[in-house]
Amino acid sequence: MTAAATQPPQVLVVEDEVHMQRFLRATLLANGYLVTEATTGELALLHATRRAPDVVVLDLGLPDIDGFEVMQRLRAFTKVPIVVLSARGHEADKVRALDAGADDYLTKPFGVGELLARLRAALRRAIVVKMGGGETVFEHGDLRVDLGARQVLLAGQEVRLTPIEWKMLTVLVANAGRVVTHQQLLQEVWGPQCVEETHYLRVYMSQMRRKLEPDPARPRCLLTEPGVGYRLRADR
Amino acid sequence: MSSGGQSRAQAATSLAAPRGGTKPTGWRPYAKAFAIMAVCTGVSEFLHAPFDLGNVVAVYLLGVMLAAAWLGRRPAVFASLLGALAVDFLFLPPLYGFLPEQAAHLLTFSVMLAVAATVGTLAARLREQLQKAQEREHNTATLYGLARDLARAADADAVVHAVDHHVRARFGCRAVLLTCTAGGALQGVGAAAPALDDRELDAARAAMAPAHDTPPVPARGRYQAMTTGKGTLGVLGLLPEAEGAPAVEPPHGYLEAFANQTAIALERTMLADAAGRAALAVEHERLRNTLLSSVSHDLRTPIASIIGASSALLREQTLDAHTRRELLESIHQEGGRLERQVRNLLDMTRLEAGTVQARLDWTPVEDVVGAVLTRLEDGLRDRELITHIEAELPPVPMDGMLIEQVLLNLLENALRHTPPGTPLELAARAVGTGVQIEVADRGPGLAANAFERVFEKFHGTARSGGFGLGLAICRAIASLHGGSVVAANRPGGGAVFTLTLPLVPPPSLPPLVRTSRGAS
Repeated sequence: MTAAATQPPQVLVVEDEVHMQRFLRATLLANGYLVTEATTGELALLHATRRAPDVVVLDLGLPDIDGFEVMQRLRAFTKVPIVVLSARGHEADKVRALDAGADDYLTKPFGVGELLARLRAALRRAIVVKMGGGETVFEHGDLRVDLGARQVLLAGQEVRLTPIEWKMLTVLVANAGRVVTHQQLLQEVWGPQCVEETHYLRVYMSQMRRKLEPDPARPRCLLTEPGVGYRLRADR
Repeated sequence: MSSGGQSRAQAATSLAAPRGGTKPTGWRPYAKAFAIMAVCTGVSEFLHAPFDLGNVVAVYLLGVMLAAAWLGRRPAVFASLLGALAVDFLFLPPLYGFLPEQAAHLLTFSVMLAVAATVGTLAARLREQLQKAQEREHNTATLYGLARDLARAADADAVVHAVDHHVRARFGCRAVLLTCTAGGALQGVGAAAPALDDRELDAARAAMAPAHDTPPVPARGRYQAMTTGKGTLGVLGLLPEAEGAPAVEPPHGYLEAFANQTAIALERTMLADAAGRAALAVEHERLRNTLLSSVSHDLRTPIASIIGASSALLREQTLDAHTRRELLESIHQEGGRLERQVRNLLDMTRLEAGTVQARLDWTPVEDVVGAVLTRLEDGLRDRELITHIEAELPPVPMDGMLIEQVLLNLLENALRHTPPGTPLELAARAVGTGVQIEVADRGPGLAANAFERVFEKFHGTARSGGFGLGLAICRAIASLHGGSVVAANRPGGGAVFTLTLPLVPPPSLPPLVRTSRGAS
């Protein structure tokens, strides 16, 4: 892993649309990533074995193999973070991709800022998983969450959370910057028998926003990903 | 013609009597005839001493005439028989005995009988004619009333209603209208058309066949073909209300008149329907043309900007940095506009196709508002947005994705139609059995006639530079939720769009299942 620290991260872009490809390549190169490109699922699998990329950007609509199948076959031999690209209105596909092992998704059309934020979060998490443990303190704006000390500070003031709120927050902090699906959150907090009851989450999330967000109706940290889940914003 | 039970009962009794029957039935007229003869006997007894037999006979003759005129032929014959016996028994020798000795007495009896028969027949005929005249008048009045009501009937349902009303009043049974479909089958007209069994349908079909062609089919109902100048339109049926009641037999030709009146009205409403459909088709065509022209305009405009700006960037090497940036910004913005328009078009198509179903889930309003504001972050950067969400607002059953779309469209709409720098407001509150979410602005507000029109598709193509679908989508989604969205002007200037969603008590939350150590 010493190489990863010095070498720029390598991204495998799996996209058959030539203009999207061009946009992704330009953006990633300009931001110091190394880019490998694949226009089909078979090529993607080939490059993934040969080049061992640090992160994969995968369009679900590919000409040869179904994007989900590509993901399954990737997951058979690698834990490399995968960010999928999908269109708005296909929320079920996003959830399915996340359940099948994707780390995150991007809704087309998206801008440079979103793309880079997703990649950073995915890479950071990959490192945390590899190293084990990871950071125990999360900071964003006025908010500071210390998992080790079991403490939440908002602008220096301690905030008291209920056990459920705390459990939800620790799951989100452990995945900071990444989307966490409703099912993942429910399973982590309430256990596997409650994965359909998304309204629990909504209610506790709005309680938590009242405690942690200056304006709960315009959340800065605890973001809703419509139809999919929640995301703790890690950077701007 | 009066309606209601009285006239119906009247009609029913007049129909219950045998056709042309003028004689009252039963034993009563005979009792009356007996009474008349008894009076005659009394009078004759009183007159007998000073007068001769001729006067007595005259008294009885008068009685027989009265009976004939009043009671009809048969009671009159009965009276003449009684009279002859009474004269024989009481006034002719041998007194109190039935042994007429002279042929003259037989003659007296014959004269009385002849008078009874003649006067009775004449009186009966007169009464019959009177009754017929009355019935004719009644029928004419009914037909007139029917014609009047049919003229007012605007649609097939109203025709059925009018016919049924008059059939009930005149014949004491219900009416059913059947029309021939393109396939030759008979189909009930109107929403409340009763289902007919095969036997009734056979009878109805038989009524439509040319006369003498098919023998009448025995059935509960009486059926009459409805014909207009163009041919047979269908069948009018009279169905007795009660099971097992006999079929009514209206006077010959009368039902035909009834049916033909109905046919004309029905044909008129059918033509009106066809005309309405044609008008609708024209409207569809117009809408389609509007759609095509706005699609081509609204999609091409941003595409033209994008192609133009990018080609300038590609070809012109001498552009300064500021101009290059401006061109790039317009490509970016126009791309966003294109995306919004395509999204709206697709959403509207999906909503209209009925493939979208609201998946209701208990959702706090804040959650949806937060998601919308995150999505609109860039657009709202230069605007003041005041949010006020009532504390303790309960979660609302809604499809978060769809309601997010509504709020997004309302906010985008407000951003587009108000001057830069004017503030926007978003408020949510509980009202009665619902929750209201308001998006308000301080722009120019709406014209008085626009409050409803803004929710129509393609209403504001020229003004807004969009398809004008955004608000139509809002309304479609609101009604999927059993809610509403309305527009109004605010006091102090600006417009306000109010989304109302119905509220029901939320379910309770379960306890924490897995053991979990909490925060301090």
